[in-house]
Parts: sequence; C-alpha cells; structure tokens
Amino acid sequence: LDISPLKKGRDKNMIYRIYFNKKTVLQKIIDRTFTGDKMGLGAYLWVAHRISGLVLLLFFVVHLFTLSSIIDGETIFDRKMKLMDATWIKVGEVILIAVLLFHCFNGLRLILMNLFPRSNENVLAYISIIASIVFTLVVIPIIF
Amino acid sequence: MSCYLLPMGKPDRIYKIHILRFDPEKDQEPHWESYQIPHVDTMTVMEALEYLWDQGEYVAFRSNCKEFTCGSCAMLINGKPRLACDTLLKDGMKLKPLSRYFVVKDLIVDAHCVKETLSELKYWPVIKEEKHDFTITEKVRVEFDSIYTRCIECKCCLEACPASSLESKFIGPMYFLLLGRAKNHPLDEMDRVQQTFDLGVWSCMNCLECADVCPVNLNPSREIRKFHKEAIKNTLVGYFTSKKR
Repeated sequence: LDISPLKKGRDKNMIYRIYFNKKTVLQKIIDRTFTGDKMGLGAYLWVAHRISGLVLLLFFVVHLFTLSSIIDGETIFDRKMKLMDATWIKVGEVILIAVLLFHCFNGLRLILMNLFPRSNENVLAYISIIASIVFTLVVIPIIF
Repeated sequence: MSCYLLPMGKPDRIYKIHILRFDPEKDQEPHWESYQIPHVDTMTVMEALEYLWDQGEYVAFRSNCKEFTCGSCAMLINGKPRLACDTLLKDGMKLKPLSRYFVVKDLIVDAHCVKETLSELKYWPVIKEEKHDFTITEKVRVEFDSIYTRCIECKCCLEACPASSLESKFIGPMYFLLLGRAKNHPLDEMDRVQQTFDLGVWSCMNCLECADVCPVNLNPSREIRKFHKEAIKNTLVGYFTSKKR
C-alpha cells in the first residue's frame, strides 16, 4: 500500500479507503452475492473452478493413500478394495466425476475463450455446464 | 448545480434510498443516511440526488453530461458500479462512492491515481521511425469506431473487476482496452504483448464483470483475451522456430 497520503495528513481518508479495499477476490464475490447485486456467471464459474481443482487435489491424495496400502500386503489391500463397493463410495464417485468433468469442460472453455477472443462467452459457459451435466448422467449407469 | 424539477404533484410512491456519507473534515467514520424520494416513472438515481439538493440535503456527487457520455457520475449502486444518470431509481437502493479511491466527500472520489497510471502507460502509438506513408484498413477503422474510441473512462470496469486491487499486479480492464487501441494503431511499434504481460494480463479471471457493468456496452475482457491469444501465438512461434535452429 502507498502510505504517502498518510504523511500528508489524510489519515482518516486512508482508513476509509482500506476499509473498503482490502478484500480478496473471494471476499468481493461473497460480498456482492449476499449484500448487493449478484455477480455474473463467469465469477461463480471462476470460484467453482478453483473449488473443483482443490477437490481433485484432495482426491489425488486420498487415491495415493488408498493404493499405497498394497505395500502393507495383499489382504489389507483387498479389504480396502472391498470397501469401494459400498453405495456411499459409488455416490462419491459420481460426485467426483461430476467435479472432474466440470473442471475439464470449464478449462476447455477458458482455452477456447483465449484462442477465439470474439467468441460468445455466455454461450461457451452454458455449453460447458450442460456438457458436464450430460456426461455425468451418462456415467451414472456405468458406475452403478 | 442545476436542479432537476420533478413533477411532484402526484408522485407514484415514496422510495427510500440509503447513502453512505463521509466528510473528512467532520466525520470520524463513514455513516449511512436514509432519505425519502417521491418517485415518478423513469426517475434516475441522479435525479433523486438532485431532488435532495432541492430539499436542502447537500449530498456531494459529481455530474456533467447527464447522458452517460462523460462517466463522471460513476458510483456504487447496490454494490455494483454504475452511472447515476444511467440507472433507474428503485426502492431501498444503497449508494456508495467508488471504493478504489480516496473519498473527497460523500459520493465524490479523488481519481487522480487513474490519470497517473495512464500517464505511465504509454497508451498512445509509440513510433520509433517517423513514417509518412501508412494505410488504415477497413477492419482497423471499424474496430476503432466500434470499440476503441467509445470508452468513456468512467472507471466502472476498474471498480467491478475482482482481479484488480491495490495489491494485485493486474492493473484493470480499462487500461488493457486502451493498450488494445494502441496495439491496433497502424503506426505503433511497441511490444504491447510484453507490456501487458508485465501489467499482469494473465491474472484476468474471465468473469466478464467489466463487460457487465460497462455503460457503453464494451467488452474489455475480449481485448484482454486478444492479448492472451497474441502471447500464446508468440510463445508457440518462438518455440517452433527455436526447435528448427
């Protein structure tokens, strides 16, 4: 922050400026969502993209942890693999695939937007959402 | 200030608006004040503020053209940057000054830092060797007519952009639009892709808030993506040409 105005005796004004300004991107989006006019679809897709990325990262860690049990022996590994047949795990898999597909299609949308700057942003956004929903629905009968 | 005389004989209904007021000379903290406005159809926020002046409530605000051409009446209306002259009044509206600048008084901000940034930006065509013969293609002319000459520099996009703040490297959508203008100028010889890279062009979130709030329906995000495309192209070309060597 530039603090030179503080030295010029405008400290009150400076406080006022910081009061409004020192917010992260996420805070700004949450503020607008709950206290003012809502933001556009793109901002929420940005948040969803990051959250889905973190979910995938978390899955990656869990995945490695589960597979690493093979080091402990065949029986332990088989016992863990049997757990994967539980319904709640299947539901989790569907959610995971939905998150993965959303992340993929949204990433693809961003690449297309950069390669074709004149493309219609809203159409691409809706296509990416619809595509991830449709492909998730296709995957459900395969999992169950 | 010229006051707008409203047909106050039979107002449709009474609307309440809330204004965040702050006078650095008197107040310790900004505070909300509520006002009642007799609403008539097609009444704008600016007309409501002018009505308050008529009533002796001197809420400080800027206005010039009143036809969304000068961009001086930009303020936060329900948390979204808009022009007061271009926004119809609704009940319970909350008005705040733009949040990225010092508040001079009430809804007036001191946006000199924008001018300072502009002066450092070199957004005019940079010509290394003087040329006398150049042609302007129809495509460039249409782009200047429809995009680059239309920005009124109202600072709404700077305010709405969640990616740009005091701390971030990304300077804001308006500046990239102006740099796009310089880049498309037939005489410009500066490396605008490198310049925009240094100014954090890749921090754009593609959220399209800038396009959403622009009072003249421009899309600065599209200009930013043109720079992205150029950067990708330059990188790929650089990669393949270096492989050939």
